Amino acid sequence: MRRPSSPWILGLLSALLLVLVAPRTTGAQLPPEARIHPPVVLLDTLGQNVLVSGGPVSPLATCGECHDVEYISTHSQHGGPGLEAAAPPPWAVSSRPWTPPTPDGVEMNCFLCHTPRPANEARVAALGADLGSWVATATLENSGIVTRENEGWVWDPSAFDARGQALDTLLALQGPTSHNCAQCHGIAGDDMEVPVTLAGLRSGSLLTLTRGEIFSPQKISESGVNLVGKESLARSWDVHAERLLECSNCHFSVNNPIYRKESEATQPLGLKFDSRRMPLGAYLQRPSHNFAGETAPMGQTLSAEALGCESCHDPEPTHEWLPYAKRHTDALACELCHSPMLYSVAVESVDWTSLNDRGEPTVTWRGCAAGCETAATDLVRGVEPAVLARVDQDGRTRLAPYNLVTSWYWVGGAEAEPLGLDLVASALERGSGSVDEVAGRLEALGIEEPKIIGEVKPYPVHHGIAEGQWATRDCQSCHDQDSRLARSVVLADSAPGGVIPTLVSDADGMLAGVIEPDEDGRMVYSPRTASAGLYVLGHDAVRWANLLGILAILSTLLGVAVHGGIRWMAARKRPIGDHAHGPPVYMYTTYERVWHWLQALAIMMLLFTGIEIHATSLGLMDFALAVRVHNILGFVVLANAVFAAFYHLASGEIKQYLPEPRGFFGQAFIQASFYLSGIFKGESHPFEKSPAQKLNPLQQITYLGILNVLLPLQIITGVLIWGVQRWPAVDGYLGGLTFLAPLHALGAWLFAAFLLIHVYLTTTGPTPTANIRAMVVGWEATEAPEGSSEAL
Amino acid sequence: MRELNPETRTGTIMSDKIHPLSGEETPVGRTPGWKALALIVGVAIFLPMYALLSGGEEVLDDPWAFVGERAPVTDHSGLMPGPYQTGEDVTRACLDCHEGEGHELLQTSHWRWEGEPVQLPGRPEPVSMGKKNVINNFCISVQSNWSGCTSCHVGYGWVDDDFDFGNTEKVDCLVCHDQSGQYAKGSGGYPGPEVDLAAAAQSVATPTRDNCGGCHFRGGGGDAVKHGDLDESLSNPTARVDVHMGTHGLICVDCHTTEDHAMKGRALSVSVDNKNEVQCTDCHLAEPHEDTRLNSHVSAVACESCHIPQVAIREATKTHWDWSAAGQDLPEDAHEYLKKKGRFEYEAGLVPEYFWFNGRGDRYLLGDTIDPSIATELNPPLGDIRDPEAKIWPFKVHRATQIYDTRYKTLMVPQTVGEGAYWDVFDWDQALRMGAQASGLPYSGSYDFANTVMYWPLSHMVQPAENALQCRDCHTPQGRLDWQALGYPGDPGGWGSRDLRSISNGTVADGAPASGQDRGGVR
Repeated sequence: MRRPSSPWILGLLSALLLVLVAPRTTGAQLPPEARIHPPVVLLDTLGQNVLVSGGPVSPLATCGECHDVEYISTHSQHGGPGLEAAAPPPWAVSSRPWTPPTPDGVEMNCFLCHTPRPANEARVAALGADLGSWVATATLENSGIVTRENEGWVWDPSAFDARGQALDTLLALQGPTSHNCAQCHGIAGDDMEVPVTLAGLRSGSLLTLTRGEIFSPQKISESGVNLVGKESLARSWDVHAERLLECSNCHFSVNNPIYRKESEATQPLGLKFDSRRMPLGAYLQRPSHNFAGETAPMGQTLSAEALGCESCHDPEPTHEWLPYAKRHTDALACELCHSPMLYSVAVESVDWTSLNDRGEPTVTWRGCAAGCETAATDLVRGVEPAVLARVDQDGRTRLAPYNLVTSWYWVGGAEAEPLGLDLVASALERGSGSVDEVAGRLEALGIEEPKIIGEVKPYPVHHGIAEGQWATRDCQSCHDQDSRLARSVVLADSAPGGVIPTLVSDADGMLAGVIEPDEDGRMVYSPRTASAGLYVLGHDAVRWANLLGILAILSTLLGVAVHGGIRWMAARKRPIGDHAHGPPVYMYTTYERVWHWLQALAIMMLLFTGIEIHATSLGLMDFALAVRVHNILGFVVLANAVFAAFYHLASGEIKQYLPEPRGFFGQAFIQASFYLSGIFKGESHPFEKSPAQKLNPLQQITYLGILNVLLPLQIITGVLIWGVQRWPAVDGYLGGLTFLAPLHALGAWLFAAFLLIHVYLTTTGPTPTANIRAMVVGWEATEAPEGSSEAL
Repeated sequence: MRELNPETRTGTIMSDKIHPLSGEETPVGRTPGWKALALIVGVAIFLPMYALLSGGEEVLDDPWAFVGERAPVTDHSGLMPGPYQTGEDVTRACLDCHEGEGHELLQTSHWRWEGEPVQLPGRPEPVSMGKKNVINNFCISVQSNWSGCTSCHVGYGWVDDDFDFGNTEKVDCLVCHDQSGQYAKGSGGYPGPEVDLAAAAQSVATPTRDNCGGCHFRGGGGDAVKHGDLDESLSNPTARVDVHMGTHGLICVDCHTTEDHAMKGRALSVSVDNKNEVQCTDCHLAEPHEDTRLNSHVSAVACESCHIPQVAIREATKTHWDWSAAGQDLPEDAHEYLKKKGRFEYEAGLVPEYFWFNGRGDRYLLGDTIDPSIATELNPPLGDIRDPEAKIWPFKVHRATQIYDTRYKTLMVPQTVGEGAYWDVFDWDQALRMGAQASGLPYSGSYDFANTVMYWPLSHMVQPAENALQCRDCHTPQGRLDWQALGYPGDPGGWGSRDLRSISNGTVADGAPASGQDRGGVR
């Protein structure tokens, strides 16, 4: 069964929809030293000079004089065997849009890519007129060698030298430039003079139609596109085009010796560079026409050469400014930040179940204010790519930008074969009607189980690249509630029959979220960072951890309020006694106080910066600064804890924190009942506080928990989160950020709750501030000696 | 810090440590107080933060740090009551308080119109030159035309060769310091009759762009004529015209700073050495780009080459002047033809031409012989690809056809201003005789016209990065630069930059030997 293949659908579609504007006749001629091709005699299929025979030129015969055309045609996705098949491309004439192209049906001729000003329109027209053998000749129409006359083409003798060779100044055979590729692949080129407009969109402009990509060195602000906010976009459409790269610099011939790079797998040990190369002459004779990074029409990568940003770029030295750079580059494809917006239009959906009078589907667009039928003048808003996950060649799964094109079509029969458009049209023609009615009519036409299929094809964004200054570099773009990584994309304003589309099976990427209708009936793709196995700080939060934390805080506040209220009421009823108390005691050593306050301040600052990191949208401070400060504070707390542990162990003070197993419960009960009743009656604390016994049993058990469970938990989870790009394997083993981060957040909530109780209970001393004062100066007033219970 | 042993802390409390808490704020003597505590804790937290957060920061490009503060302005309205009959009256009043300034000014090139002696290539001894005695290819020469030309001299009464350059009372303070807006100089540099001198004297302050522009925007006889990068659009420039003056509101003297009234800055037309230049790097880093590829340009390309992609942005500037066509009764148009001056060509949005330039120039001097069959370069910039100090610079090139003596093969000084002079009677022969008398050049009686060229290095109308040149403006076959004419074997984008080591051996790079003959850098 053949499934619809969206590119070819769009090829047809856009041919029908878009007004074709007169082609630019400018072309790019390479520098003289790059044009080494000698003059040639143009031969017809019989090997005769066309100047003599007057027949159509045969690229096979002409170029085959020197180049191995058989090798080329069998190593090319751009042209089938013969390179000059008479049949026009099937998608240009098929009424069945999903008819896949047959590779040997693609008409391509050498001149289309190897002359500076190919006449593609003339070529397409010749194909359409079934003038197969003249197609290559038509392609030379702009060169001045041949002119169209009535029924055919006439060679101009003045364009040939005395030896019968076409003048090199006119033919100008050369390697392909972006201008050549632009003939079929989208708006591209190196022209600085003619401003880019969307009028340049044509039937084959697939990269622009399906992704919104434009590959041009011009500044967007100086282009001719009617774009919202254009004046502020003083950047080029694509930085590679700006920096003089041609398409072929990345999409090079896979056997071009210049680009040969041995894979690390086969490179002999210790050899950095193998200087041996295929001779240039051999390459020129048999240049592979499979190109790096090339994809076949059906989506699979053809070439053995992997092509990605990192084939040329090392992100490390240029991303030193970025905290957790490696973490970012491991989780995000370069294009996600460096192609944040495509300032163009792109197809959104194609509905083959809704055909117009001419049998054309309903097409919706992204990136334009309303409709895009006259895209040359329409107000363009630009397309923000959708975020999908992609498994890259190196095995990393990273989030990457895509344009999603959704299509719906009727299928029927046991095999769920796509139905011919004529069939669908006739079912639609018998009066408009609901999906069910159309289905009924299709059944009446003999189709079993007719139904609508919807599918989403993701088109990966690789062009339209901006340099760093224009890339996404604001942390909050992603680390926020409204994260770019989770921004919903409308797939279509409505779905025929409410059919929820699914991702095509051969998709380049994977959904990192869900497709579902929203309340307005629109089909929406909502990426979820968790689906991609990511926990994005500031954006993601685990609900139960937050709920638990908030509950802990609220109940603590409630408890404190009730307890404090009762204490206050009870104290009012008691007569104010004299502040009888015992002699002051040197309760806390200097080190203990330093340790305590360092911990207190650091933890409070950790909580503050932690809130910013956890909920960026509160906007407490700069996110990146919060992360860095939080990390430093974390290590301050860790160091403080290590020193304190040493101090307590070495001095034996650790004993104070260890509850006596014997009688512990009884004592704890006494302390608890003091807090629950005695304290209101003005009774003394049941356990006298002394330098050797500072903690009551409840404090002992609490601090045991805080210092031995909660603090280490926070430190360990914190260090692991800090080290997520240093030891990704360790973190991964322990559940990754998706587990560690919520755990750390929960710990923080509990710390905050403890802090509240802790501060409240310091007010239960002889005077409300006595304990705090003691922790500051070291000296503490003891309660009045036993018997004198008048102390507050 | 005092440490207690556990024993002493448990039971008995030593009396000297007992602290009566009641009503006392002061903590116990020998244990650290809250201030010390706060200090320790604060240091423990903020020291690592300071150390880690501030580390690794690069040197920031902060050009403002190098822009001096403007001198405070004293209100002179009460100090200069007037009335003043002449400009010299005002100057005397100025010198009453500013005693030394008059003598300072006498040393400046604004006054002397002559620089320090400079050794020119191929000449036996250093030559003093300046506006006073050089020839250009606009109005040709000051000599014999003093009264017309010296309306831009910072003095009063330079009408002939006998002007007293030692008289401080002849200094025109107002032309630079007037802010009343109505001060204007006429013939001989005297203020015009309509000028209210008291109002001008009371308004004095730091020179603004209009003060400088009064002469420098109008060089060559009218707005935008001479420089191309200096015209009246810089009076109130928009951001599009100049980033310094438009976007950031700088005035001329922010960069052209003075010391004892001596201005910083050089103009190749009259100053051919490279002392006292204003440089971009006075304020900007030498390698200011984030992009290392861009920074790799700065050793061979002047900042101006990319950041001044075009000049004459708002007003067309004169690019050709054909004196030989003067004197005819043709329809007049200030931008095309004037009977007095001949035929012109102007260009707006002028794209510069690019040459190697090390800051110094050669100079055509009065009396030098020319080859009339080729264009004579009056002020050729020095430097070529082999010169490590030379960079590729943008120039406005002014091409002219001007009068010369066919027998002596010297460019001549015609008197144009005055009775019987060319602009009076349109008789070249008479104008040359009068001019020869003033300049001392011999005149054979036969004359013709020859082509001359002047080079104007560009340094204003600077554009920010977003408007600067891009790769493609130079590094394509259609680009602005003719690499081979500049001495490269080909586009250094592919061929690599000039290799000064191999240049010293006579070759430029892996290619052709450097010719160094042609100046050309432009297609």
